[in-house]
Amino acid sequence: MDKFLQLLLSGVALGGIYALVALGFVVIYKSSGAFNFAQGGFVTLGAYMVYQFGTDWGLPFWLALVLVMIAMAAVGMFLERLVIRPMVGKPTFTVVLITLGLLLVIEQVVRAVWTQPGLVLSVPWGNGRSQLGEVTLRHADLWTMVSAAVLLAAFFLFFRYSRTGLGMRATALDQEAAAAQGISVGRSFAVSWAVAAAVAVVAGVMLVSRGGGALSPAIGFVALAAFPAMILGGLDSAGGAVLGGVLIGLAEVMSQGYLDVSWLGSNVEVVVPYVLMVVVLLWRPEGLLGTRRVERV
Amino acid sequence: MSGGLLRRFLPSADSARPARTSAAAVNRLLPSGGAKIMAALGVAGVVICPLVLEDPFWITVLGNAGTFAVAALGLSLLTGFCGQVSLGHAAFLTVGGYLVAFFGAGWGWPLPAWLAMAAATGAVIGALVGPFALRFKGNYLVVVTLALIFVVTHVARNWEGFTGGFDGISTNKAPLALGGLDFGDMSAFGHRLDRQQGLFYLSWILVGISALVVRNLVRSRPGRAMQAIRDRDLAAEVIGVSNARYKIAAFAISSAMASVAGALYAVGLRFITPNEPLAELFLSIRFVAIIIVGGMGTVYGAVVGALLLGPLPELVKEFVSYLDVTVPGLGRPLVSDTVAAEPLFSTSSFSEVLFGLLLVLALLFQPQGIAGVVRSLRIRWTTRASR
Amino acid sequence: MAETAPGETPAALVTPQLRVDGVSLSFGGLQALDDVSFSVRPGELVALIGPNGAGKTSMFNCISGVYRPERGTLLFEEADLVGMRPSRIAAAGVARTFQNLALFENLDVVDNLMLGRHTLMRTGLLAGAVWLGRARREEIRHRRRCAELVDFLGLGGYVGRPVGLLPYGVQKRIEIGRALAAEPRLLMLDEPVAGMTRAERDETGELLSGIRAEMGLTMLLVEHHMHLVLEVADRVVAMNFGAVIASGEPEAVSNHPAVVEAYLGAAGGTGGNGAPS
Repeated sequence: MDKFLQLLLSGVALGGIYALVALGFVVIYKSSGAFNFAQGGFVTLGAYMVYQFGTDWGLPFWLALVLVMIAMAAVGMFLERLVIRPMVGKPTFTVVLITLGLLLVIEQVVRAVWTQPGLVLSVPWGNGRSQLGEVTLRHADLWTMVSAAVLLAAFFLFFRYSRTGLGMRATALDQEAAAAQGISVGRSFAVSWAVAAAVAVVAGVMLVSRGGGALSPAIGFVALAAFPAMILGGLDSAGGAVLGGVLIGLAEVMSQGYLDVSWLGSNVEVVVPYVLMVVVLLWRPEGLLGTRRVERV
Repeated sequence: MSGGLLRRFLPSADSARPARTSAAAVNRLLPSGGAKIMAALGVAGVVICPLVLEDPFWITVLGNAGTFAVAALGLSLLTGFCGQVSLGHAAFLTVGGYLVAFFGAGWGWPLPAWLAMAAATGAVIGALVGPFALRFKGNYLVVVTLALIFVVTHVARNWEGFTGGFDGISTNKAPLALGGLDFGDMSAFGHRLDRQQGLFYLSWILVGISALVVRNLVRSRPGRAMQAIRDRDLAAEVIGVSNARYKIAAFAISSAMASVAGALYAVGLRFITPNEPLAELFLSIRFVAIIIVGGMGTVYGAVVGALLLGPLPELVKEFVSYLDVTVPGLGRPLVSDTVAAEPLFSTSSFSEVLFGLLLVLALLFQPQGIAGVVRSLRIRWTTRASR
Repeated sequence: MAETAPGETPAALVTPQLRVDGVSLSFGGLQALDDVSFSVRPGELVALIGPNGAGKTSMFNCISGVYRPERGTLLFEEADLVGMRPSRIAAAGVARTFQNLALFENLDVVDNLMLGRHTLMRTGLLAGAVWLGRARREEIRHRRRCAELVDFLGLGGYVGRPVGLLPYGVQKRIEIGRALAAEPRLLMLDEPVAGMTRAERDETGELLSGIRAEMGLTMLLVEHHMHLVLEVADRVVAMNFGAVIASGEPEAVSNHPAVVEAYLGAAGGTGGNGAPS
C-alpha cells in the first residue's frame, strides 16, 4: 500500500510536468489549431534563463522567475509576429512545420549560449522532502502539482470569462468568421504565444528541479512525451491536458513499479506515453475531454 | 447544345474521332522535350561524376545525396502527393539499416535479396501505419507518426540479437554484387572504381528507379487518387476513391523507399548504431525540409532538394574553415569543431540551425520551393516568347 | 407526370431506381431526417426542395454514404446502401456534386474528370508504377473520353490550369462534369445553380435538360431555385424540419399549403425565391 501511494504521488507529480508542458500546447492549439513543436524549446530556454537571472546573476528566485516569464512572453510574441503571423490563413500544417524549424534553432541557440556542461539551477525548495507516514513527499513534486493546479484554474477562468480568451476560442474554430465578428486574429495569436512561452518557463523550472536542478539542452525532450498527454486529454481542453498528463505520468511510474517489463527492454517508459496515446485515440479519436467534430462536406 | 458529343461519351457509344482538346489532353501524358533533355543530362551527369571526380569526399557526399533522394522521393509521394505529413520517415531508414546489417552482412544475402527485404519490410510496416492515417488527420497524424520514432529507437536499443544493442552492428560485409557487376569493386570505361564510387552508382540507379516509379504513379490512376485525397479526402471518397486503400498504399511505398535508402546509407557508413529519438526526429524534419525546399508535388523537387540539403552537414564540416567568422562583441567564432575556441556552434549544431532556418524561410517566402521558382520562370519565359 | 415514351412500361409499374424508406438521422438532439421516404424511378428527375436546414443535403449525404442513417433503408437498384463505404456506393453507380464546391483544386480539368472515372478504371499500383502496355492504353482511352466531355462542357480553354484558380461558375460546371464522367446510373446534384448569375443559371438549366434528353439519366436534384425546378423536374419532394411535407407534380407541390407555409415560415430564408430574379 505504501509502495502504491508512493508511486501514485510520484506519477501524479510527473504528470504535473507533462500537464504544464501540455497547457502550453493547448493554449496555442486553441487559438490557431496548430501544434507548437517549439514548446519544448521554450521549456529549455526558460529553464536556462531562470538559471541565468537567478542562480548566475543572483536575483531572488521568485523575481527571476517572474522576469523570465515576462521575457519569454515577449520572445513568444516576437516569434509569433515574425514567423507565425504571416501564415494566417495557410494550412495549419505549414505552421506546424515552422514550429519544427523553430525547435531546431532554439535548441542550438541554448547550446551556443550556455556552453559549460553541468550547470545547476538552484530553487528555494532545493532537494527538500517531507515524510507523510511511510510516504516521502518531495517538495519539488509538491510545487509541480500546485503550479499545475493554479495554472489550470487560471486557464479555465481565462477561456471561460475573459474577452481575449473567448476570442481565441472563436479564432480557432474559424479564423474568417472570427475576424468578421470583430475579433482580432492577430491579437489572439500573439496572446496565445505569449502565454504558452510564459507557461513553458514554469514547466522548465519544475522539470529541472524535479531532476535535482541539473540543466541540459535536451530537457525540452520532455515536450515529446507531453504531446501524447495533450492528445490523450483532448486537444482543445486545458482540463484534458492535465488529465492526460497525470494519466501518462501514472502509467509510466506504475508500469515501472509493478509490471515486470524487463523483456520489453530498458527505458520502456519512453515508449509508454505514445502507446497509451495510440490506444486511447483508437477508442476515442477526440481524446478524453476533447470536443467531437462533425465532418462536413 | 451539341448532343452528339455527349452521346459519344456514353458507355455504349462508339469511339469517335478525338477533338482538338482531346489531342491536347492526351498529349499532356507524354514527356515534353525539355523534360527529356533534363533527364538525359541527369543520367549523363550521374555516369560521368565518379569518373571525373578524383576527390573521394565529393563522391561520398554526392552518393549520400542520392541515398537521401531515394528517401525524399518516398516522402514526396506521401506528403507532396498524398498530403499525409509524417515525422516517422527517419524510423524507416533505421529499419532498412538494420535489415541490411542482419540479412546482408550477417547472413550474406546477395544485393537484390537484401534490397528486396528492405523494401518489403518497409512496405509492410508502412502499410501497418496506414490505417492510423485514416483515423487521424493533419496534426494528429504528425504526432502519431512520432510514435514510430520512439518504438523503432526502443527496439533498436533493446533487441540485441537483431540490432547489436547500443554497440550497433556492422554492415561492412553486405554483398554488393549484382550478377557479374560488383558495386563494391567495379570497373567502367577502363577505370577501376572503389567501393564509394560503386555505391554512388548504386544509389543513383535507385534514385532513377524511385523517380520513375513516383512519376508513373502520379500520372496514372493510383497517384491521381492520392492527389485527390490530398486536396479533399472526403470528396475523393464520395466519388469512389477509397481513402483506406490509397493512404495505406502511399505509406507502404514511401516507407519502402525510405527503408531502401536506409539500407544504402548504412552500407555507406559501414555500421549502424541506434539513434536518440530526438536525433531521429531531426532527421525526419530534415526530409520534410528537403521536399519543401525542393518543391512539394513535383518529382524532381525531391531530387533537387536532396542534392542541396542532403549533404549539408558534411559540407558544413568540410568547409567550416572558410566560414571563419568571429561573432562581434563575443569574440567567439561562429562555427568550429575546435572546442577550445569556444565556438557558438559546432558544425553539427550549425547544420541543424541551417535546416531549421531554411525550413522556416522556405515556408515563409517560397512555400512552393525551387520547383515553384522554376515554374514561374518558365511562365515568364513562355509569355515573353509568345509576345 | 413523367413523360412516358411510347412503348415504355407505365411509370407506376417500374421498379424504382432509388428507394428511400423510413430514413432517420439525428445529430445530438437535432433531428436532421425524420422518417423520410420517397423513390426515384429510372429516367426520372426528382427535385428535393425545402428551406435551409430542411435536411436535403443530409439526405444526399446518407445516400452517398457520408452519414449513416440510424433507421430506414436505402435501396439503389438491388443494393442496400446503408453501411456501405462512400467509395463503394460510387462504384455501384451513384455520382453527386456538392453544395459547396469540392473539386480537387490543385489538379486541372482533365484530371478532375479522370477522377470521376476512377471507379471505371482498373490500373492498380503495380501497373501504374510500371506504366507499360495496359496501364498506358487505359489512361489514354479514358483521357480521350474526358477530353470529349471537356469539349461538350465548353471547358477547352481551361485545360492545364489548377481548377482552384478558375471562376466559380466554371468550377460548378466542372463538378457536374466530374459526376457525369463517372457514367453514373443515378446523378445527384446539390444546388447546381447556387450563387450563379442569371446567364449561368440558364446555361446550367439547358445543360441539365440536355443531359436528360440524351442520356435518360436518373437524377436527384436539390435546388432552391423554383424556376429551375419547375422547368426540369418530373416530380418534387418537399421537406421541412427533416420530414417530407409534400410530394408529387411540381406545380401541385409548389402550391401546396404546407410548402408555401414552410417557405414563408422560414423568415429571411433564401427558399422560395423563384419569382423575380
